[in-house]
Amino acid sequence: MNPYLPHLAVIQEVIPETASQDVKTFRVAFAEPEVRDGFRYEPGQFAEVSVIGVGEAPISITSSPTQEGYLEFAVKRAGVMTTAMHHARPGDYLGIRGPYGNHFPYREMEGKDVVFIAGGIGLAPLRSLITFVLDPANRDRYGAVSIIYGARSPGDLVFKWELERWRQRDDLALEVTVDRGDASWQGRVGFVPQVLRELAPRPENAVTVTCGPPVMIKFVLQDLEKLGFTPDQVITTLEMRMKCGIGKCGRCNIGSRYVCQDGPVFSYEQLRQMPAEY
Amino acid sequence: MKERPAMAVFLTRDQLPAVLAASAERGPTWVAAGRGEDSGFIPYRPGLCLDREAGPTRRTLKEVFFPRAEVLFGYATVDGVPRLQPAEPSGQPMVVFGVRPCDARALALLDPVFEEPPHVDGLWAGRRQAATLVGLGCDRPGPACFCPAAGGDPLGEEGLDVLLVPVDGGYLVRPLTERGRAWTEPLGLPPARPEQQAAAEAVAARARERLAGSPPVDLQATLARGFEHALWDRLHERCLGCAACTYLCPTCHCFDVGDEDGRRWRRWDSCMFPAFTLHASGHNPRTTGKERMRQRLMHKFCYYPERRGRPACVGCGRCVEICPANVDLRSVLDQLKGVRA
Repeated sequence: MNPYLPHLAVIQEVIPETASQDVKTFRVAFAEPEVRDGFRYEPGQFAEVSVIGVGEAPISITSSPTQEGYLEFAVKRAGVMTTAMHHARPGDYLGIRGPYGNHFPYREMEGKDVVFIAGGIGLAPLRSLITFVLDPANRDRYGAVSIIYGARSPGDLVFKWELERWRQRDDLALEVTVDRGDASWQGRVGFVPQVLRELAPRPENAVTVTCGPPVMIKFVLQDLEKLGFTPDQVITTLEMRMKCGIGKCGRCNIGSRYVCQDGPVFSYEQLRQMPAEY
Repeated sequence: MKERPAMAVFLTRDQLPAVLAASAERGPTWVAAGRGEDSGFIPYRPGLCLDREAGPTRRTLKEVFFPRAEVLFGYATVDGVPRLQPAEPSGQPMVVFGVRPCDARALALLDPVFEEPPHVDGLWAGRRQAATLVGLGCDRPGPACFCPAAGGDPLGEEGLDVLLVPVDGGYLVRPLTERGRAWTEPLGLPPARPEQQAAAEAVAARARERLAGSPPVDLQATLARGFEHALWDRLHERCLGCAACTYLCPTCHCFDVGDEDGRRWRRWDSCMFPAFTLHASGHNPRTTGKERMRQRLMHKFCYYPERRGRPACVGCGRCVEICPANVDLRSVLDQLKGVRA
């Protein structure tokens, strides 16, 4: 058994997300039908994605298991591998192995209000769970759903096409904000934590799921605490440099926890008991 | 693995070269050979023999099962489609000869890392399943050895299939597993005589006496409360970050993965390097030598025991011997005993 061998997948579509195109979403389908049918994942899991001949990186699966037949990865151009991935076109091949890691506790969240709080490309891992919760087969299991999403500028917002679809739903409260507007921006201007304080979601029978840049997370956690959310009501997902994705290469641990296996999803309650080394 | 104790037999010193040669005819045979800097596990060639006067080899047994660099799969593009060729271990039975008890224990500590379901590393597991480990007890532990403190013993049996105890004139041969019996029986050796058995016990007693007073490494409870202790601020100051200790540590298993020359490789890597945890974004959770040394020590003596129940150190002393800055793990552990948050 060679757990490092990826399955081949074909890029079906490449969607530029940001104005500068430093984030693109890749929709891919496994080349082998039996792999396509057998690949089961949960919202919040990630995969090791390869550009064969260049390298491999852990990327959260931004599509939802309720969307069958393909996977989506939203990738920010940052290093050698993601730069090569950004050069790929529909029809090109990627390698994919996984799914890896734990997942959002969507069963434990049933019956509760859900508040999603995301910044920048931090929306990518949350989108899997948002789509899952909003799916007609699941929507009734959850209470009120709200999303607070922010980016530095209107051009830095990702999934604008998805945001439009969400905005049209009447079972979802969506608040989009930017740190700095521009001439054409009609929406909110302000940091995510400000919007959170203003909207002041109620902690009773609610759970929040948050992902974004460290500075946003820091203030969001403080504000959630002031709003009365307890650490076990706050769920986040971490990123860490990884190679194997399966607990062997020794790279992604925080204390005795391996982000690749025990994470990437942690509650704030769990994080508080881990060394602040992430 | 361990069953009824089989009868010990006796191998004379003169017979050893023939035993090695015969083993090599049946399949790949590795021998702990050489002395000092040059010593390590070497594929058998005529004339190669273990040096019973030498201490533990400088290079460790892990290289046989987890090579410094190895191919995970090959790739080529045919008609625009990538073709992947996975590496598979040959599965051919092999013998590793002259394994010190500390090195065998180290493999037992690495097994759960590589073989824990559901992600079994077939490259590691394949080699492990194919290997018969013939151990060599330590009659003269080196100056840096501290295996009893790490839960081991100079004549420890964990992870071995056969244990050879060096005594006057030869070796007491103790088969420890079914596989060990399968290796021993064809040799047709005579049962060990009572005085040879007694000589082996005396060797063990002498070796244990030499190792008495080693500092204990059972620091999990202490370290779990000591992540923020001020001691970490200065413990690392002497460390040059060369990572030699991790390469020669029999339980270190960190690796990097990368593509080169039509192949995806894994290569040894080290938590002592700054780039080890560097994100593509530029963020780095362990920016200085303080965090990196703390990680190495915490992993071995706190995190690993939390997950697996015992420290990831076998007390072989290699890190003590090769550190260019004379960082002595034993004294570091002694200082860490005082760590309390």
